[in-house]
Amino acid sequence: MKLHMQNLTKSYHSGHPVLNVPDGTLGEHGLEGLIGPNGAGKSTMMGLLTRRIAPSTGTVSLEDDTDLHTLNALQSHDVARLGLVKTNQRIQGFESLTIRDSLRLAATSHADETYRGVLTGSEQDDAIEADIDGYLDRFKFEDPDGFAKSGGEKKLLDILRCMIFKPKMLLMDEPTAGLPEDVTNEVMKMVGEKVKSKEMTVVIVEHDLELIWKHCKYVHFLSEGAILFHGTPKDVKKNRVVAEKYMGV
Amino acid sequence: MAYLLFSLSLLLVYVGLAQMLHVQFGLLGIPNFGVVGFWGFGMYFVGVLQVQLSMSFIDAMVLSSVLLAVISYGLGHLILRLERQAILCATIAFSAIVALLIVTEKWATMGVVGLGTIRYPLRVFEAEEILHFVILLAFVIGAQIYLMRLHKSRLGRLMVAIRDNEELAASLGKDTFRVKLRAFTITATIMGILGGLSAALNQFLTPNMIVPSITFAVWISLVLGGKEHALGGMIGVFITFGIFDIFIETYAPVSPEFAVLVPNIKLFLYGALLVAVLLYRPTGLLDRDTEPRDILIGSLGAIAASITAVVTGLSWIAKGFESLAARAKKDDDA
Repeated sequence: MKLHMQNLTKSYHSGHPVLNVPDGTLGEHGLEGLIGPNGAGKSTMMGLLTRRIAPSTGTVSLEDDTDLHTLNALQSHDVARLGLVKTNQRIQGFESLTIRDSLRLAATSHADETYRGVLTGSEQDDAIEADIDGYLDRFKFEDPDGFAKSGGEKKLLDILRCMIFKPKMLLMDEPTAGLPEDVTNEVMKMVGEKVKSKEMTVVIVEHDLELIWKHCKYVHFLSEGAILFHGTPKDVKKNRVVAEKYMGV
Repeated sequence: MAYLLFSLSLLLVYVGLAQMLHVQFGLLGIPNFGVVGFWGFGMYFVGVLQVQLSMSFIDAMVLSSVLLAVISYGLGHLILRLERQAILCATIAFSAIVALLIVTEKWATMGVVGLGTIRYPLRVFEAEEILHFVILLAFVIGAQIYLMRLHKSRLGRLMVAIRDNEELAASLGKDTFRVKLRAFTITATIMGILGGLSAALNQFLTPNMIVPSITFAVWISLVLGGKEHALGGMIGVFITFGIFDIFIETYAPVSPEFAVLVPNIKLFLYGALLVAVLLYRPTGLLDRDTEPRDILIGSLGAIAASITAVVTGLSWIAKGFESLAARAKKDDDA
């Protein structure tokens, strides 16, 4: 699954665009990275892509195997139903739901959440339960049948919620911030497997450049609201613009 | 006996309203402060259709419910995307509009003169009051069973998720606005149906029945009982309306000259109880995981304790007034 941006801009009151992408595509290379200094417009771009923020001009479209969907007219739940989901930079969660219920919520199709279903009884969906057990075996929570306690657990749960939703394309906004290193490694290993088996394409926004170099096949460099360079990690590392503007060399 | 039946029927109406508010506020986080508007709309509309147009109760009820569903849907469309404070204001405004229209549209509602007589839906010899009570009871029990199942269902889980973090739920493919709009329309319409049933119960309608204190009574009950528990609203109504309005106002041994004080004391105790609950148990008497067994034990204990406390308190107060009266008499004599 690929995301296309055409003439995409976002400007707030001042009129100066915080993001300006004449033409760009994300998701062509399986696992991609998006890097850039603070204030470059990375989070704005993420928000625009998932329809959380409305663009000032331009279009975002999502290309899957058969169709090209223009996202502009859609609301964020429609975008998710097309298969595009984003993990959150800041900790987000449902405080009244246990870890399992939170995962069940993400895995359950909206078509099963009906008033009639209340009466006919919501027997457990074995496939979903097996899926949840699989994730909870792989990732250890202090109390897997209770609530996510620490910030790290909440962050991990946020990522697992997106995984169990089975998106076709996943945007990860600073996935490692707040996660212990061993969990990060396990998450990246899982992401790598999913990308390899063509279950999803992934774009990672991250400040941890080591992680980007290690895992991503392709890297986009964003600065001052524009994609200034993109290429393989090797090319990006060597690029003078990136070095000057970001890595401070 | 007839009065007790009336009181108990009214109690069931309040339980029904609290159940609906539980779905709106407890599960979905929609602060509907216009409960009396939806209830009053149903009550007056059924009354007007029956008295002015001689419609049968059932026809009047169906027509009123359809109309209220359309209105609630439209209102929901306007307000459910807004912040909670805005929803609160809008629903208060809705109930104010309903109350105002009832006073001004005299051609239909008879204004402050009052509208009557509304007959019971089922007329069977002398048993119509009891039958009406049974209808209400069945209604409330049915709603309660549905609510308990809702809490364990996928839809219930989705509602709670929307209350906790709507944006996050939407990012997981949930059409949160649609879920809220549907639930609001359904529950607001049921509030109107409870209003229609109350019309028959009251038989004679006057605009001073459509007062905000009904909204507040339902809210106090829900918050007191526990807004996130399926039984919270019901327990809350039993404690407030059941103990204070029915038991004390009707049966507590208060001497006639001081009976006039009882409503004020009642309000004072409502307030004191609410403050105590909010201070020491902000989730209400039942939190979302309270087990049924604990509820039974707890509520029996609470009922016993509060009856004892209130009766003792009232008799002390009564004694106090008596001694005051006696002293005054003594002074007069002297």
